Amino acid sequence: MTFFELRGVSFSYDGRRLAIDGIDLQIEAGRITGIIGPNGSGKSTLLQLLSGWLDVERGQVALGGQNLCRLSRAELTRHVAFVPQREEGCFSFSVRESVLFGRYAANEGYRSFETEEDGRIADDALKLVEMESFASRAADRLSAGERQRMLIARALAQQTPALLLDEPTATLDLHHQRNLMRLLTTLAKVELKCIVIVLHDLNLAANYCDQLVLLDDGHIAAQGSARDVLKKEILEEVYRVPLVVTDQAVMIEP
Amino acid sequence: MKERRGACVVWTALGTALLLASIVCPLLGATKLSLAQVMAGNTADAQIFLTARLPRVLFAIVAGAGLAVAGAVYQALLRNDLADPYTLGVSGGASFGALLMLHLMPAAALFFALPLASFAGAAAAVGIVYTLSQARRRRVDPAKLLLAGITLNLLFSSGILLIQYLSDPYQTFSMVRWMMGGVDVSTVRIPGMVALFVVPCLMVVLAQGKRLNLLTLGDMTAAHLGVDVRRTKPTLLAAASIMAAAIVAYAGPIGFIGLLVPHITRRLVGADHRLLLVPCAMAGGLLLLVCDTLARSLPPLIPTMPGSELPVGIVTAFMGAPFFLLLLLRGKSGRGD
Repeated sequence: MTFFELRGVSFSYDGRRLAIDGIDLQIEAGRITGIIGPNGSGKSTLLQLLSGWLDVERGQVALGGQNLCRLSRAELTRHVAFVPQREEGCFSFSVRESVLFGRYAANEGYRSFETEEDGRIADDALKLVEMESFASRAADRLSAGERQRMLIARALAQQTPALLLDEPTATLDLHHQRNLMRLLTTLAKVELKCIVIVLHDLNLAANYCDQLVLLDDGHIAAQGSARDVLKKEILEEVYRVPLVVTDQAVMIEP
Repeated sequence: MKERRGACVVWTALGTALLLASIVCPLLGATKLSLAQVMAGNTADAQIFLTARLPRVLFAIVAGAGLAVAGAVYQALLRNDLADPYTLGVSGGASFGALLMLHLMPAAALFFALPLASFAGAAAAVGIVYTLSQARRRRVDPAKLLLAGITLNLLFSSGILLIQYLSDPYQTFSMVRWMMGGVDVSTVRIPGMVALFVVPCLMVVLAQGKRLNLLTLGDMTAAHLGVDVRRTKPTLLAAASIMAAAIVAYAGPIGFIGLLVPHITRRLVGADHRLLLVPCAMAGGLLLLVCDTLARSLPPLIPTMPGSELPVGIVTAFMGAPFFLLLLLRGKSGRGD
């Protein structure tokens, strides 16, 4: 089932240079879609267009057939959760409080404090990222990787059908990288969530993503399965570096 | 749950302290009053209580509460724990607006023109600071925001000096006194007028505690969690600025309440604005009331001191400036404790 549909989507930050240039793309529910590409190719921009944080300049992003820009912020939040690359809070909230922020949209307009049910959802989310023992710690005292896992827990607590993650593995060690990718696989296959993930690690992308979108300078350079996209000639042209590409791995040529 | 129970204790304690202070403080001062005499009515004590002390106490509570909550809102929205109406140049802008109005139309004090002029000045300051903080895709250094505030304060101070230069000596003297900040009013009309602005704004802010929490995480995260940032942020900024401007219009710039009080209350109840804002308002009212009582009570005890009282702005500045330096020295600007 198509979750996001992009038709001729363009976006620019300064009104001149297009960061995203006329992209057509369908993103399915029940699958992990990986967005890859060099720095500045528009990966994060694309993700922020899907989350509704950035407004498309031309074209249209549809969410379940509805034009995304017609949805209110609260409606969008009930459909799409977003995990940013990083977040810098300025006051000291506990990890559990920070995860409970994910329940805001679910309670919007009704009550000012979260219910016990919200607390249970937050605790479950913390468990999924192996952070349950951190619940009462101050969020601003966490390491980068722990903070990243807390942000993932918050997005899980939103209980949305779609989950967008911007380089969530960048600060994670190998153990937590594998756990996160397995968790995402379960969410996609069992709960049929639509997972869109920006990745730099092409091997991780090859191993866990059902569909890859390779961006280059705001265009789609290639899309399809890992086998279709991760080809030596395509990657070398986009990344401008000599590569060794085998069935198992993509490496920079020494 | 635990936080909420702790906060309940703080709320109750602060509420009780504020209630006690508002009974005891008006009895203190150059002339000590007796509660029994005041209650008896129709005595000299009762007269002083009603005409000199009560308006002042009410004004101190309203102004203190408003400044403290405005400070808490600025700190959350600009994500900078050194922000307050004074450091951002909002008080400076409001002072300039009010003095300009008084210079051009001395009768303005009688009407809403004064708070409106004051608000125009505050809005200019907030506009500039906010625009700086919004610069897209570029994290604004907290130090830069404060530098912008200092620059604005300098600019408005020059404007104020110019107005003073152009005024006659009597007007200049009253302007200088006003600039020192004070809540010495002789009628409940003024605290009433200020409350007319402060109370609705307080209501608006108190209703947004949950959203303020999310906004401290930055606009993008707040939006992704469901806050309509484009509507909520300007509403909150306007509410804080109207409060600050209305207070400055009648009390003059009173510094550091908006900086000090949110910090102290945050230590007591935590960073959650749903629990923070009410004790913040109570503590702000309490602190300004106590400072004003000190300002009234200390000078008669010092033989060489001319006059019978100090402007409360001087007391808060003497207290607040070292605190501000302490925060700077801790090197944690932009982060809570």
